[in-house]
Amino acid sequence: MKRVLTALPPALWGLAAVCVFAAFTQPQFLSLPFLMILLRQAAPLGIVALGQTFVVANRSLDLSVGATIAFVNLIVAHAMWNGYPPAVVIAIALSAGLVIGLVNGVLVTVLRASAVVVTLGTAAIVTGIGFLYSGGAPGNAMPELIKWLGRGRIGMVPVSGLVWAAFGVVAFVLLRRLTLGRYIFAAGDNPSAATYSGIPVNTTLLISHVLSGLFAASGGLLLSGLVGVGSLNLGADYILSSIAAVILGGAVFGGGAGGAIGTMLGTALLVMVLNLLTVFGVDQPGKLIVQGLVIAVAAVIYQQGRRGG
Amino acid sequence: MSALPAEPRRAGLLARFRQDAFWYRQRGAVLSFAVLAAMLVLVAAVVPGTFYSATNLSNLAGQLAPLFLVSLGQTFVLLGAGFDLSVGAVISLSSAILTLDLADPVKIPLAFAAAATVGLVNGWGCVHLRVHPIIMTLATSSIVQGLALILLPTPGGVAPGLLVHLASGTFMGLPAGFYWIVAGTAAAIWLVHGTTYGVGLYATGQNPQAAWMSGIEAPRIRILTYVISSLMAALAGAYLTGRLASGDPNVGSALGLDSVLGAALGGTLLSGGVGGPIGTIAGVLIIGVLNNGLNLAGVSPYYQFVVKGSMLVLAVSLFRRKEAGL
Repeated sequence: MKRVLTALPPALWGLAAVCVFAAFTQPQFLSLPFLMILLRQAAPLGIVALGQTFVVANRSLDLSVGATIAFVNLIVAHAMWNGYPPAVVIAIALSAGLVIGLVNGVLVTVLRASAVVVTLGTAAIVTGIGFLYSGGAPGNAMPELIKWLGRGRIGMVPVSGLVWAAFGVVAFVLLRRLTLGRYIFAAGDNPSAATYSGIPVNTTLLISHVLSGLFAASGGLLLSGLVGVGSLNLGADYILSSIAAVILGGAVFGGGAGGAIGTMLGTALLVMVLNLLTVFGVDQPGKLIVQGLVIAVAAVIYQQGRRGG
Repeated sequence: MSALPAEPRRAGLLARFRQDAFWYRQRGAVLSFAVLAAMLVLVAAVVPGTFYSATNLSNLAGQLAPLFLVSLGQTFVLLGAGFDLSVGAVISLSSAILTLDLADPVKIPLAFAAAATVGLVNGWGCVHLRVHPIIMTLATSSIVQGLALILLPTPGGVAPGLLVHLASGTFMGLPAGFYWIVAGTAAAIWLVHGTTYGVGLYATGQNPQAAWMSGIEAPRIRILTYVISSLMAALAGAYLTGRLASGDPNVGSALGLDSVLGAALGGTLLSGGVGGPIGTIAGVLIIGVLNNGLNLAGVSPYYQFVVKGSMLVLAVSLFRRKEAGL
């Protein structure tokens, strides 16, 4: 029984507690229309966090997701793509994310440089290229398709929520139904043991970084559509939030509890807590404190459960 | 001090160099100083008069002092195989506390006590609760930044007169920042290379279990690295507050990750036990000379991002480690 309890992501308990708390204090918070607004807001972060899950479960880190989001935003908002079919623009944006992830992965695995420093470095490079490309003046020529992806609805359900769900299924299959996922968790839990067991640790890590870049670019597309215009520093706060969502989801450095579902619950918990704080009139400093406490408590609880079980 | 496995003695200078524990740990620093020297020659060729002018060098010392202090503090944490992402927030918190509406003899010790508390919490969480350092310090940095913004919502306030006096002007022809750098560096080098704490720190960073079994108080040493790092951050905050003569709740935000950069460029490995404050001197100077040189050469800030990022990736790629990852 204890094993079952500790195998569940910390975010599940948090989410349950937050829902109970909201039901008693702010019942309208749990109404369907409001939840749909939350879903639309959570989707871009959710996809970025799913990408971050691969890397963090693989005992690495991607600090370049913020710069990737900003870069994707500058690409899709640039007037240069006027007249091109939206699918081409989306493909170019996603390839940018793929290339960033590939560069990160190669530097981290082939040169064995620290992922923290490498992804910081590529983030600076990508930011600079983005500024050069846009000339410091972001455009606002965004294809309608991207806007629809970011803010459109089918009936009551936001399109971005469906896209998030689709990415969630892809991530779940990759992490829990394919060999790749087993390799990722094994390499994340104990890299030396994984190497001795014949697991292609470097290839696995490379793929994780590529996936993170691709997911970050996809999240960037949705966020661009939601915002609707080009902006120079979109997504800066997604770096820490995406890591926080993964921690809440339990997929920390090969920890077995997490995965796609855990991270999605973690994202939901983070977005709900932050919005609930807004409802209660707590402003930015208070939110920072609560976010930090939530991460710390989740990490401590998770670590204690791991040691005991 | 012989931490290396005993190899059969070979003749030759290079072989002896490789077998010496001190040089084994400082091999990155040697490379960093070589890179720094190359950069100083390059700068002399591109912007000779402007870079080596007294005004520019004095400005550079003033600008680099906070980065020096936090990078040296970060070096301790990295040597103990930890990671401190919260230093930026601690700098901001100390700036906020130092400009509170309190008497100077109260708020100056208060700022350092607050920083030491953050360090203790970080160390306790990482060592005794076994939370991963990146996660632990990410969480505390969010909390500490929130506290800083509550104490001082917008830049302002009055800095203690003592700090304004200590952080501005010149003394014996040299800028105030220079003395902060020398004092911080000397203290760090003494702690690492001149005390038993330093011996224990290297042993702990290489292998905490083996250190513990050899009778070294590894947990206490690791917790202390976070306290030292936070106190150095508070010192950087004190310098910045004095230099600006007022407080700023976001003054440290960029310095948190730059401190890792300074230490890493100086050859301190993020896996612990290799490197040290001597290399960090070169690492911080590389960042400073690069920023300053690019500005003087009139390079567009957009290209500066690309150049700095590439330099960073290139420099870190030179220090190959055993395992890929964090």
